This record gives sequence, C-alpha cells and structure tokens, in this order.
Amino acid sequence: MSPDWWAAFGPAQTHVSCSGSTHRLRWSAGSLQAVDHPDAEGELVMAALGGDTNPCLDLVMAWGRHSDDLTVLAIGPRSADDTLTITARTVEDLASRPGGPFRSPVSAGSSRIIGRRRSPGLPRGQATYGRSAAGGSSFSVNSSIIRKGGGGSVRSGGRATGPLRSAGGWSGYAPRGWPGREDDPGRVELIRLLALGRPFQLRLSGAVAHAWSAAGQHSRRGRSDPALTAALAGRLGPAAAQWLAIDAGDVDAAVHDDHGWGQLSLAPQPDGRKLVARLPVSWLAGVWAPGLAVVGGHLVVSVLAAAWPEVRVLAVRSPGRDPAELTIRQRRGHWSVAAR
Amino acid sequence: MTAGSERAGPDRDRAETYLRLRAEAELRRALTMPRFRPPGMVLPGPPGQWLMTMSDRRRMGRRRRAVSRAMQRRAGADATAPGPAAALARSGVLRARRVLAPAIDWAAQPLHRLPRQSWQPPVPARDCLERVAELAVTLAACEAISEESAEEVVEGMRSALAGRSLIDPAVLLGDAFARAFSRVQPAPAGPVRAVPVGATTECELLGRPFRIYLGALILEQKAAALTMRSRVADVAEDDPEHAHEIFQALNTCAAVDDRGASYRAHFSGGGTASHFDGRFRFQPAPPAAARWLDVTLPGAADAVRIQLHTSAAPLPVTSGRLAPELRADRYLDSLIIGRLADGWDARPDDGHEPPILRIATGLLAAGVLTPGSPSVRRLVAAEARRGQRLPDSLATVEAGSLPEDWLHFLRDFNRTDGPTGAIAVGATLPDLDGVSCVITELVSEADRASFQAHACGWPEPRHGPLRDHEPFGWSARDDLGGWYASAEGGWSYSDGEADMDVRLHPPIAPQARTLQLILTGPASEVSVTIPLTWLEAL
Repeated sequence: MSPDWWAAFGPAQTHVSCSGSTHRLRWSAGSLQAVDHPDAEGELVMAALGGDTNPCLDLVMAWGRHSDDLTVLAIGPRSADDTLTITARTVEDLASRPGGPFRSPVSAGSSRIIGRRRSPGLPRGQATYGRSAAGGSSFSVNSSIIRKGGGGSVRSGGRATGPLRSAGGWSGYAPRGWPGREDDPGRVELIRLLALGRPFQLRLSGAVAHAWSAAGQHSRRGRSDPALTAALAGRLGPAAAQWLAIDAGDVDAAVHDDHGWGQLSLAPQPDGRKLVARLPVSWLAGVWAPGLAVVGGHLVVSVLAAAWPEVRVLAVRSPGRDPAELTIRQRRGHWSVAAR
Repeated sequence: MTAGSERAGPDRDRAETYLRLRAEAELRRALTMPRFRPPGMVLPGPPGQWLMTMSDRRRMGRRRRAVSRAMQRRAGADATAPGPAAALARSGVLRARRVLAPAIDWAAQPLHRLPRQSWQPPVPARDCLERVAELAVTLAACEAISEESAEEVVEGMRSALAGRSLIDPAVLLGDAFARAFSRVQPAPAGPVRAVPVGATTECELLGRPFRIYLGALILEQKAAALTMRSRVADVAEDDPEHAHEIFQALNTCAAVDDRGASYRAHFSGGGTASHFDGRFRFQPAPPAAARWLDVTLPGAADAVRIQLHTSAAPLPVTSGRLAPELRADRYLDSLIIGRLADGWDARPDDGHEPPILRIATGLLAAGVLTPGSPSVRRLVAAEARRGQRLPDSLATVEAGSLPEDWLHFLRDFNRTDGPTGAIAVGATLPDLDGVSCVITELVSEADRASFQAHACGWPEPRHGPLRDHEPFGWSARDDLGGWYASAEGGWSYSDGEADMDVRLHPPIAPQARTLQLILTGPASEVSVTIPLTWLEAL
C-alpha cells in the first residue's frame, strides 16, 4: 500500500496577524490548522452559517478550497531555485494601491466607449477615423462623456480617467473598469495562501497534485491533461537538469497513467540528448513537492514508505536502468542517502 | 521541451499541451531575466546603476544641506560662522535636530523609492508573456483550443511572472490588464432596421456655413440614430475650443414626429475644424406608429423630413457556413494579407523573426496546420517575394501561389481614381453568429472608401496589451471581380452595440457597378450587394 502523499513532509508553521495579535498556522499530516483557535471547528461552523470570521479561519477555509486548484501548479514554485516573491507585505501593498483593491467597485456600466483601431498591416494614415484629407489632426468626443465627467469616462461604479491622444491625432477616453476587468475573490485567496511562504507553497502544490492523481478525488482524464503534463514537465525539467546536466528544456515529459512508477530513457537529438520521461501525477505530490526529486545523484521516482524525516524510495541512477531502493533522511532541510 | 503523450488524444489536447509547455519554457527563460522595478526605481545595467548611485548621492547631498540649512535657520544663528556664535548655533542645531527629526528621517529614506515617472524601465520578462499570449490567442482564434483554456494559460503565466516579481506584481490581482478575449454580448431584443435618408442640407454653426449630409436612420426598440457627415470651408487649423463649441451646437439638434412628439438628440462623433462625422442619437425611439420624423439641425432654415416606413430597396443578401476545417487557414491568410498590405516588396525583417512566422511555426508545432496546408504554402510564397529568411519549420515547405484576389488587392492598393460620392444604403444583413448588423452608408473618394455599419451583439472591444483576435471581419468584392480588404476606422461601442467606420482597401474601382460587402464570423459569413449609384454628398 502506498504511503500518504504527505508522509515525506515534516510539519510547517507560520504566523499571521489575526484579531489584533499574532497567531500560528500549522500544517501537519496533510492539513492546515489554526493553532490559536482552539474551537476552530465551531468557529468554522459559525462562519459557514454567516457568523464572523477571522484571518486564520479564512486561510484554513481557503486552503481547503484551493487544494485541488490547478492554478496553484501554474503559479507555484518549479524547483528549489525558483522562489516566489509574494509575501504578506506584498499582498498588503497591492491592496493599498490605488486601483488595486481586493474589492473593486467596477460593475457593468452603460457608458459608451469610442476609439480608433488600425488593422495590422494597413497604412496608418488611411485608417484614421475622422482624419481630414489634408492630414490634419482630428479628434472624437462623446457628448455624454462631456456631460458626465468633463473629460473622462465614467462607468457605473468605476473611476474617471483622463483623455488619451494617439500618435494618429485621435483622442478619446480609455475607460477604467472596462468590460472584463473583474474581481476574482478566489485569486485573492490563492495569493494570500502563497504568501504564507515556501513550505506552504510546496505543501499546497502537493495537495493539488494529489487531488488530480490516480488516488485523488478528481479523475484526471479530461481537460486537465494538458495542465498536468505542463506541471510535470515544468518541475521535472529543472530536476533532470540537476540529475543529468542537460538543459531543462531537453525533457519530453508526459503523464504515466498505467501501473508502476513509469519510464525514463535518453533519446538522441541533433544538438545532444533529451530525457524522455513518463511519470505519474503522484510523483509531483509524493516526490517532487517534499524536495525528493534528486537525491544522491538519483532521480527518485516513487516513495515506498515514509515516516518523516526518513523515507524509503525507488530511485534511478541513470535513464534506462532499473530503479533501486534507497533510504533517505532529511537533515537541516536537505535530503541525503542514509542507506542503500 | 516537446509535447508527448502516451494516449492518443483529440487535437485540442495536443494544441493545449503544446501551449502550456511553451508557457513553461518561457517561464524558465524569464527566470534568467532581471526582476521588475517600478518606474523610476533604477536604470538597467551597471552603467545605469552607477548613474543612479551618483544621482542619488547628489540628491542626498542636496537634501542633507537643505535640512542643515533649515536646522540652522531654526537655531537662529549661522552655524558656519567662527567663534562663540558658532558654538551657540551648534547647540541650537542640536535642539533643531530634535524638532526636525521627521524631516531628517524623510531625507534619509532611500531616494530610489521616489517615483520618477519620466522613465519607464524595460520589463524583459514581459516579452515572454507576450509570446505566450500571442500563441494562445492564435490557437483560440483557430479553435484549436477554447478561449477559456487560452485565457487560463495566459493568466497562469502572468501570475507566475508577477509572483516572482518578473513583471509588475500588481497584476496578481488581475487589475492591470483587460482580458485578452472578447465577450459576445447578447444582442438587444427586437429587430434593427435602417431607413436610408441620403439628404444634404445647409446650416450655419457659430457663424460658419456647414454642409451636412444625413446618411441613414437606424431604428431600434429603445433608440434611433441618424448618421451624419459635415463639412465647413475656410476654417483655420484645429482649435479644440472651437470644436467643443460645435459639439455643443450639434447637441441642440431636435426632431418632432407626425404625432407631435418631440425628441432631443445627443451628438457623438469626431472630426476636425473643417469636418465632423458622427451620429445624432434620439432616445426614446419614435413609436412604430409614427410615419415621419422632422429633424431640425442647428442653424438650418428647414427641417429634414425622414419617412420612417421607407424601406430600402431589397438588396441581394447571402449567407453560408464556412468550412470549420479551414479556420486556421483563414486566420493565417488574414495575417498574410495584413503583412502584404504593409508592403510586399518591403525589405526583409532583419534581426528578429516577424510575428507571422512565429505564429505559423506555432500552428505547425501544435498540429493545427501542416506543411501542406494552403495558407502555410501561401505564406512561404509571400515571404519568398520579400526575401525573408524562414525558420527551419517553414524552410522546407513548398511555396504555393498567391490568390488572384490578393494580387488584385496589391496591384490596386495605391490607386487614386475611385468614384466620389455617397450611397445611403440602409441594408440589414442576415444574423451572423449572434450578431445583427445594418449597413447605413457607403462613401467613396478618389483614394479611399469606407462604409458605416451598426451592429447588435458585437463583441466588446479590448483594451489590454495582450494580443487579441477579431472574431468578425469585413471584406468586399465588386462585380468586376476585384477584392477589397478592410481596416477598422473608428468605432463606438456600448453594451453589445457597435457603430463602425470600416475602411476598404484598395479604393473602389471606377467601373464597378455593384459592391458585395461580406461579414465573416467564426463559423459563417453573410453578404449584401449594393448597387453603386453614387450621389454627391458633400
């Protein structure tokens, strides 16, 4: 029986500002807990019923909501050298920027947008709206805009902006809050989760990969295939570069659906060689996310048993060779081979 | 990185996988690039950093001296003077330092954090995002992937770059960009029709004689719009104040129907001191029972009577489905035409790969087109005329021949013998992929031609920097077989309604007797054929 996907992870903890003090958030055994909220479960129930909530519980609930969100894999770290710069400070800075609030008041409006566009490749002068035959400058103004803003367009609930003048002599009003500028509370939640720090980013990535693996809650057959293939390739590439000293781009990765750990081989190409890899999505959750991808010159392909900080794995010394069992141990944040 | 799959999947999977792998490759490339700096923070490269350091030192020096002077003033003595007075001043300086502590703190903060709006640092990683967006939009336009998938990949890439401070982190919250794709708005309920007017009248605005041509009246359920073009002679160069006054004057246009109901018009449009083009918008629309509308233009002696139930003479219309398998070919063809119009005899692009070659390479790699696809072979032929060096993926493709339509387009592109006049059309096109469209008028001059259209259900315009694609496009063909490409002139958009000024290239052939205007949508196309009976307009 395979170990739990999180078995190779140690616990992780961080601090967040909550209700005027600093509270602890702890991740262990695959779940996030608000340590300083002893009755977190009761508070969660109350929050679900419309009661007050708090930042700790918000994050715990958000963690649950994003544990199968493939966007995590699109944004999250790819390798040990790949660091996200999102911090709690970043989030607050963005929130305080003009035009960058979490809850923007933009909604569908009824003001009119006017403009001039030029099709690619067609002469600039000949495609100018309202341009005089003599080539004089021209302009276009919407009378309703003049009435409303005296020089800016105002969408319902939006903000006024100033006029723009294009090189072709046309002037109009670029609307703020244009169609499509939409708030996404889910995105804000996700950014807040990623701002918890790298240990949490990796654990959340692992949770998402597990959710889409054969043992997870989602069937990965369907439209998510390309996303998972890219997630695998984006993470296996840097690992393969470290393992074989090849370019991270010289990897042909695909998701392995059948039984077993998969397949690794080297294939020649005009300017060198490339790694052809078939690995299951569970490799991302159980191997890559805890940082086990390359240990002691081996590419780890599967976890056989785990009791952090000691893990028994299947690892391949070089492509084409059969994997061998290794026991590896984490010391001071680094994995090394403890026994062969 | 190349795409691979153990299971044979539909083409859409292959195309999306290719796009996502390209995004991963571009992200790896971006990771080697410098991080984003807000405008004004630092110049790139060692020389820039040296300049910035020196500049900061000078500014710091100036600030320190300014603070010192302020402290000395506050101390009430000249601290630089020798002798006992200076000692007294120094003690005063100590007191002043406490008082001015906030100012000192301000002066000591890193200068490079002060915004300098005059210089925008380059954001190299943005090019990576642009390339991914370009491919995503291309694949979506060819229906090789869904628009949702394309948007998801671009959003993911953008967030990944922003989350690493490789582009402005502000986009993490999705605030700085519009979506790359258009959303088709539901068309307003009720039919749209146009009444051809084709009347020219004289009026006096602000003491100047104006000649105004009224093209067609567009009637919808809630509003009506009357298209107009105007000319005034003997005016000075552009004067914004004067233009504003003309706008105000045009806003006094009014109308009354045969039942005594009156209407005020709001004018929107644009122009120069010598001409104004635009529309008078009446709201509400005249009731269906109204028979005529008398429109009184500002400064005009007489009203112009518009018979509301005058229908345009029935014009031949066609509609038909497009072969879905040729969608990618059509897309690439449209790009080739645009590039040809840029000058097919232009010098080859040196030093960088033209986007169209990058796009074609992407379509081949994603399996959307093959080396034998007609559009790919036409692209190779067109590029061969330029002497453009082709990427490896296209170098082995056998060149095809350019269609006769394109050759006509290129041959006549700069002609200057087009007919002069206007035609009030008022033709309604058959509905096309959810869009209802009326052609209001056609205008021709010696070196240009254009037509005006009003559409309901039109996709909203995009403003974001990411590349977008146009789901609808116009073209035309005359009875002599001449083919015309289109370029969007001006547009006005609101809640699914669009007013468009569409330029035709080349100018209309003087011998042509009819012109078929063709609107091509994602899956089908419609057309209306207009007899070219030109009337003098202005």
